[in-house]
Amino acid sequence: MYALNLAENGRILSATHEKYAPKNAVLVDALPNGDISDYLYADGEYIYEPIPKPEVPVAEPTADEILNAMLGVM
Amino acid sequence: MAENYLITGYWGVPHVTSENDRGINAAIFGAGRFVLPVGEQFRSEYIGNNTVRIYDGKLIDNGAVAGIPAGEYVDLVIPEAGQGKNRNDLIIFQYSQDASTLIEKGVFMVLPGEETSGAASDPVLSQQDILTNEATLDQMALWRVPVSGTVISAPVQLFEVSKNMRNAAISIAEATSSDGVAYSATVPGITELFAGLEVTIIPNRNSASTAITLDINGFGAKNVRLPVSTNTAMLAQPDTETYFVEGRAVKLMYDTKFTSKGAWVAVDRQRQSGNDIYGTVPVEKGGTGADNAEEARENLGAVSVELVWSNASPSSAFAAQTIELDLSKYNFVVVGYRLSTGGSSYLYEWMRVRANNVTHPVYCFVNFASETAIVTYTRSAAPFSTGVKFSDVSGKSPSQTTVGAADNSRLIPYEIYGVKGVVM
Repeated sequence: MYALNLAENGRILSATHEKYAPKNAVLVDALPNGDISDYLYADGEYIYEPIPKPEVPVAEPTADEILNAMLGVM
Repeated sequence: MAENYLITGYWGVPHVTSENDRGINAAIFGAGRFVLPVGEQFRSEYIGNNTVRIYDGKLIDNGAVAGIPAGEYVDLVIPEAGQGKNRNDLIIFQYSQDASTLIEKGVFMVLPGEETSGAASDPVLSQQDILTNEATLDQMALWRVPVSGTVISAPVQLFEVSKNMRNAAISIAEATSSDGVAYSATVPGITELFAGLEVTIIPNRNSASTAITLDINGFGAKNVRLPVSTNTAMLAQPDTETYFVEGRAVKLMYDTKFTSKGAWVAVDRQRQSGNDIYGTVPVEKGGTGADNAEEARENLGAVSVELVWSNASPSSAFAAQTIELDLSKYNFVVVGYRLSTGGSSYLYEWMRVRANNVTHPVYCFVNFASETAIVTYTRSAAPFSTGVKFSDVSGKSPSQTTVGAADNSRLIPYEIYGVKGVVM
């Protein structure tokens, strides 16, 4: 069992395990797959309604990765 | 063979014999020859004219009771020795039985020793066990009177005084030791060591070892031990070397079963087994005031760390929200953050639980190819008595004031611990 922490509009903010749930928490048997913050919870059902994700910059190679490339190490 | 063996009963004719009484007396008072603790106890006094006076008292010679009536005395004459001669005379009680008439008799008399020019020795006593009912002569020494020429010295006591029933269970003696380790004592009336035998000793000096021994009446040095409350077989050495304190009485009971030697066990001064403590030991007495670890930590104010929340989906974005928790009993919380939803690196932040929502920012740094420098992500947390309030994540770099919208895929609260204990 899981306890959902919901926003006023029903969006899932986070989930914890039942034993850490506060009183009157919304308890569910399973969580939706993937990012749970992409779901709303209403009337006992999950509604997939993803929010836009910020653009994720591409990480630069690390110094070790550059050194390995120079040395031909995969 | 007799037809009636009843002693304390009416036969119609006299039937109680001296043998009957002697057996009973020996059973009650003990066999042997000793003076009873009554009257003058045969006190002796030289009154001149070669005369030693023996005052009243009672004695038992293997069950046979004899004595000088209260207030009366017996005067005995001690002959002088020859010039330059020495002699030991003994003042004795003598039992005898006439072989023909079977009449028995007890007298106080002088048994003269042999004169010698050297050191005198005592005359040999004729002794038979009256309890056998076959004795015809038995002598019990009371006093030795050394005689040297015309000089008659003060009598020397040769008898023991028994205890009466009131004092029979109390044997008190000084225990002497030259090193504080091996003690010895002489306790009148103890003729053997047996289980349950009790003595009270008064050490003449402090002990200097936890391995103290005590030798009573020459029956051998026995270990002195303290009983452990676990059971009646477990014994332990004293905890301190100065367990015996000079002049302070110690009551001991003999235990024949300790190892193969036996031991003197201190009575009423046992060592408490930790397992035998009944109830809880208060904190002010050095205990915990509890019977379980949780209460003990609570009572002692020890630091306790408890997991109070765990993120069931740490791979999900975590928007601004309040996690409802009862943090009223905690002084601090520790929040563990996963650096990103897809990452496996963590950092932990220690925060004081406060009533006024003081925020605690946490930072992580990421080096992106699209940026000219490291981007700093920040999320704040504010623990208070009913929960922890988290903000959205904001990011900044030197080249941009803000990196896009709130990136709640970073600094994901992963777990929250409550910390309580004494805050110094």
